Amino acid sequence: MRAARFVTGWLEAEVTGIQPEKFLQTLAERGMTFWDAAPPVDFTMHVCLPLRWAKLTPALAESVGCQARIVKLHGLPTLFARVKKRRTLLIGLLLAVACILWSSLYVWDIQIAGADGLDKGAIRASLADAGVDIGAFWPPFSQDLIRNSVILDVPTIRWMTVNIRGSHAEVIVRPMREAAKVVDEKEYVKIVATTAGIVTQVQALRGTAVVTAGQTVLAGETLIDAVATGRYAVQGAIRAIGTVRARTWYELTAEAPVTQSVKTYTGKETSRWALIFGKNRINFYRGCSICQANCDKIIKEHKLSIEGVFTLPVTLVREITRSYSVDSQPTQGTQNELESALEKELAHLVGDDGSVISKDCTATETDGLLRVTLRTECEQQIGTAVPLTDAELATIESQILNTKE
Amino acid sequence: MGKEESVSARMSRKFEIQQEAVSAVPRITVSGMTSVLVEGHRGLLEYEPERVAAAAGAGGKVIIRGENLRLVSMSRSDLTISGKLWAVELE
Repeated sequence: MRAARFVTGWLEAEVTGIQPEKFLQTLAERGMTFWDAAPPVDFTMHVCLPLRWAKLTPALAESVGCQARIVKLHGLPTLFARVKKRRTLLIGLLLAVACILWSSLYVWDIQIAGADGLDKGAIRASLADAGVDIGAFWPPFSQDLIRNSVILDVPTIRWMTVNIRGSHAEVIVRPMREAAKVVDEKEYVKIVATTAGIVTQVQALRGTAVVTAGQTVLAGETLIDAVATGRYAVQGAIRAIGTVRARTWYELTAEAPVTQSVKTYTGKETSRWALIFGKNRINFYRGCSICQANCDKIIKEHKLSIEGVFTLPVTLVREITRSYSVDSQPTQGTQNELESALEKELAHLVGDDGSVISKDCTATETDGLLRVTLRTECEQQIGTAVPLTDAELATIESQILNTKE
Repeated sequence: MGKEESVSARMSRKFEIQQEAVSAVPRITVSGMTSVLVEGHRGLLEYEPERVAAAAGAGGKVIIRGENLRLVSMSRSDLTISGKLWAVELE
């Protein structure tokens, strides 16, 4: 509504009379729009009207015994009328508009979205090879060609698209999903122990169990062999399936320094400025931009753009350097952090179906290091499938041959 | 005028339709204590920050009292007032 009023133009009128509200009544009766009609003060009222009724307004006011004075004209027609007298300004304005329009046909800003876990640098390089680069003329861009080129270059991308808004190119990518592992039923595997422990339960669904409950096993020891046995003889190699549960013991240790270095800003802060035109940079300072020791450098880039409308190839860069001193302070809550990290590692080792029977946590401090040790007794599934080696397969085959003979 | 009104009132009662649909009686809608819409008014009589009055049919008046009252929009038949409303009176 405001934009429409600005384009068509509007005026601010001051109506004076015994009853200025009658002027509003007349406007309403004639179906004439008005807005921002302030209540009369000292028999004077202000009201806004469309510019096309500028000539009619005084006559209408007179018809209801009031006097109308046009206080100010607003909007585009008024602006044009003012600028018409200043040709240089008008030419400058038109040139600026032309520059913005021309500039909006080139890409000045590229943003990549949805590239979590992907190499953005590789995507940018591939986009540049496909023609999508800073300063590229975007009207001849072909989505299909860009997509095909980038997907071929970066095989970890499943899908992508390039949306151009003004001079801003938004590249949306979707990463490739890993294909689900397919179990090869013809592959011969045996079940071995992932960790040492005392076996509590053996469930051999397929294959021959080589351990029994109460037996101690070491990591890597075979628990269920990939051999199918008949009543009297070995029948052949198979894919072993089963679970073996056991009591296991873990001793996990984590270390962390008792003190830590903490930054304290000294309050000294310097700013340096630079301007980037397209790909060229102009520094408004001497020397290099490498930060000295014990200082943070914060770079803020201000693009000359209106979000979603246009982006110009001009970027104002502000480099803020903040000095700090490094102090050594005792670390807070380190023991709890280490304990929780060890608990997390233990949960990973035990697995979802495992349980912790007992645990004991100790902490010692030596040479400026805090050492936390977690000793636990657990109950978990320790069997994991491992493919048979060629030598193991040959052994099984020789066993079959021996039984046949 | 009175006869016409009674006829319209009778019609609206008989045909079970809203009276403002068959006669020019004002309809006042107050929303949220900050805005009031008067439909079917007969002209703006008073306009002050604390009091706005509009003519209704049959010599009646709709008076809106409040604080910082402003005329948001006005057409031949409708007017919208905004501000802190205290009362809507009928005379």
